[in-house]
Amino acid sequence: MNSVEQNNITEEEAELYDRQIRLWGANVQKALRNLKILVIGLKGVAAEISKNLILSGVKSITMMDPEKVVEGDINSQYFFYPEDVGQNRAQASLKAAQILNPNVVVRADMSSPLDKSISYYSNFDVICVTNQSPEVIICLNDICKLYKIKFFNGDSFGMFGYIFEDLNETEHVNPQEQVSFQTALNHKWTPNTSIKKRKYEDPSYLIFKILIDFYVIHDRKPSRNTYEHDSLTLTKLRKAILNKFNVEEDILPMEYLSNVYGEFGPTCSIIGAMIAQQVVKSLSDDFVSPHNLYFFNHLRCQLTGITVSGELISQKKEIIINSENVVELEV
Amino acid sequence: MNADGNNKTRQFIYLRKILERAGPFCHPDFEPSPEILNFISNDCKILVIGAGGLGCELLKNLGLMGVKNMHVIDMDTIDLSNLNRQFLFRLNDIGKSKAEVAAKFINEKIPGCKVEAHFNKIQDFDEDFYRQFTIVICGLDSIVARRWINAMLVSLLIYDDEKLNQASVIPLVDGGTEGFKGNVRVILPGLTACIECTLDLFPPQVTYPLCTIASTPRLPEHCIEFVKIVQWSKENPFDTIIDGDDPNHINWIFEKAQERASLFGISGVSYRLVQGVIKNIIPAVASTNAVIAAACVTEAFKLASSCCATLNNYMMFNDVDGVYTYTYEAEKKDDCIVCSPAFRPKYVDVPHDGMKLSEIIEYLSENQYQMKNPGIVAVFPEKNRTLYISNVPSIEKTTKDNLKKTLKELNLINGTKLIITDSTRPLPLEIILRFSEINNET
Repeated sequence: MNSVEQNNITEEEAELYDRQIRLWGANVQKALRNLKILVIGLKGVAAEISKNLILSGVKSITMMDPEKVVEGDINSQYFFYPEDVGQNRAQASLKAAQILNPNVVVRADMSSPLDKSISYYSNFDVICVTNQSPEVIICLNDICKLYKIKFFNGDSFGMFGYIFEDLNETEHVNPQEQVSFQTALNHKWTPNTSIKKRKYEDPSYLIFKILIDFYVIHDRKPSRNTYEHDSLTLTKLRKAILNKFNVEEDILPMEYLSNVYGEFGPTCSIIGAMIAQQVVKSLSDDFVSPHNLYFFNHLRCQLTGITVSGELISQKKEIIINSENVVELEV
Repeated sequence: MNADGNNKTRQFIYLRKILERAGPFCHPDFEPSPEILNFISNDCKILVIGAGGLGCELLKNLGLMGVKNMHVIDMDTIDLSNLNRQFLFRLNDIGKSKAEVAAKFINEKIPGCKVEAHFNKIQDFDEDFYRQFTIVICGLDSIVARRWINAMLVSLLIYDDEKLNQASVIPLVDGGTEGFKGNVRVILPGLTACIECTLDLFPPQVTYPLCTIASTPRLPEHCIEFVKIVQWSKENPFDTIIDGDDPNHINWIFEKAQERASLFGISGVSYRLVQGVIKNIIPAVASTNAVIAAACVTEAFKLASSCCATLNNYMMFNDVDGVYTYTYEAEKKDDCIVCSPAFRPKYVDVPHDGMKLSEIIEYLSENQYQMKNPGIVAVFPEKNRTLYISNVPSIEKTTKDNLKKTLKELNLINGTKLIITDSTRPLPLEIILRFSEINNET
C-alpha cells in the first residue's frame, strides 16, 4: 500500500469518477482521495454514509460497532446478509462495503467508541457518529473539537431523521460562534413569524427535541416492542415541548409521532446521503455551510436546514418524570 | 407461505411493527394489520423503470423493505462511468444489460426477492403488461419517456358512466436527478396533475444561437458547438457522423475547438468539456440519487400502506449550498390532452363478438349517444379501416355489407378503438370495444 499521498488522479480513476468530477471538480476529487473516515454505529444510516463515500473514492473508511446484527437489521441496512445475524455489525458490513470500490481501504473495528483512547480519533479527518446515545454524541463531539476534526452526527427514528454537523473550522469562525451538539439541544427555537398559518410551520426541530429527550430518559430509541409505553412518553414529551416553546398544538400534529419507531430504510438512505454529501462539499476551498442542523420531515417529504447558535454549554440538561407523571426540564 | 416461513417473516420485523399497531397518532386512512405487510411483500407488484443511478437505489430500497415482486426495465448497458453511483454493478459487468445485472444482484442478495428484468425500451410493452402493476416508479433520464409512461397509465383508467373507477388508478412516482438537484412527484392518474399537465415545469434545454456560434463566440462551449455543427460536416475527417464514444472523433473536435478558441482568445476548452458537450453528459453522484430514490420509495410505501399522508405532490431538491427542498401542489389541468376525461375514449360494453355491426350502430343511436347517422372507422395498428359511412353514397354502397357481419368477422377484438363521426358532434368520438364475456372470465 502506497503510503505517500497521491496527488494526481490516474486515467482510470478519471474515467470512473468522471460524472462526479464534472460536478465538484478535480481538486475536490483529489482531496477525497486523501480522506480518512470513521463511521460509528453500523445500522442503516452508517451503512449509507459508508456506501456513498466509498463510491466517491475516499482513501479509507473504518466502520466501528461493538454490537451484533439482529434480525430486524436486515430490512434497513444494505450491507448485511441474512446469515450475518449474530455476527458483529462492523465485521458483517465489510464484504458488501469493499466490493463497492476496490480502490478504497475498508476496515472493521469491533470496539465500542468509549473504549478507544482519545488520541485514536486523531487518525481521522472526518468522524460520522450514528446510533449512539446523546451522551456519547456529546463526548465524541468534544474530542473532534480538540483535534479540529470534522464531526457529523445523524440518525433516523422510523421515518424521521436529522443531521448535526460541526466542521470545527476555527480559521473562519469566531470562538463565540462555535457550536456543539449541546448547542443544538439548547437552541432557542421560535416559530417562523412570517408564516401566517401555523399549520405550514415546520415542526421538525420540536420532533428532534422530543426524540432526543426520549433517548435521554430511556437510553434507547422508541420501539414497537414497547409501543404502548413509548407512545405515552412521546405524548407527554410533546405536551412539554409545546409548553416550553409556548406554541399551539396544531404546529405539531400527532401524526408526526406515529412513524418514529424502528428503522425505516429509505430515511436511513436520505440521512446517509446528506451526510456523505456534506463531507464532500466541505472539501471545497470556498465552502461555507449555511446551516448546521438538518431534518427530514417525512410527512411533507421535505429536507430543511437551520442554524443553531448559542453559548457552548458544558453541563447537560436533565429530563425527569416526577411522581405526578409530568415531564420537567431541569438544569 | 413458504417452507421456511418462520425465518422470512421474522426478517421484516421492523416493517411489521411500523404497520401493525394503531395508536393515538395514526393517519385516518390507516388500518394496521399483518395483511398490509403481507400485501406489500406478496401482492404488491412494483415496476421500476430505469436501472441506472436512481434505479439501483430504488431496487435496493424496495427489496430491503420487503417488496418481493418487481419488474425493472432498462434499455442500456453498463459503462465504467456508471460505477461511481450505480452500485449494483461491478467492473466485469461492463457491457452487460443494466436491468439484468441489477435484478440478478438484488435477487441474490435479498432472499425471496424476485425482480424480473427487461432489457427493453418501455415502448416495447403494451397495456396488458402495465396493467399488472400496483405502483410504477420511474428513474428515467428522458422527458419523452416520462410522457409516454404517463400517457400509458392514463390510458388504463376506467370510467364507468363518466365516473373514474379508482381501482383502475395505478400511481406513478416519478424521480429525476441532475448533479446536486433532483425532484420527486406523486401522480395519481385521473386524480392529480399528470406529467402532461405540468410540461412547462421542465426547464428548456440549453441551446446556443447559431449566430453566436458562427460569429461571436464567448464560451468554450460555443467553440465546440461550432466544430460539431459546422466544421465536422465541412471537413468530414472520418467520413461518418460524429460518434461520441470514439476517442479519435473527440480528439479531432478537441484540437479544432482549441484552435478556434485561441483565435477568439477564449480559454477553457478541455478534452473533458468536449466530451461533455458532444455526448450531452449530465454530471451525477451517488448521494443525490440516494435521496431522490429514497423519497420515491417512501412515497410508494405510504401509498401501498396508507400509513400517513403522501407528498402532495411535487418536491424539488437542491443541495448545492446546504440543503433546500420546496414542495408544492401541482394542479391538474382541466383541458389536459392526456388526462382530462373530455379527451378520453369511452368504453362500449358488448356481450360478445358475435354481435353484428348494425347492432353497434343501433346502440349508438340510443342511450346517451343519441346519434343520427354514425359513421364508424376501426383503428388497426397497420392502417385504419372504414367500416361504415352512411352519408356519402359511394362509400355507403361499398361498406353496407359490413352491417350484416359480426364483430369477429370484421376482426374487431376486445380493446379495438373505433372512431365515430356523426352530425350531432363537431368532433369525432373515440370509443373502445369491451367484450363482457372476456371480462367475466378474468
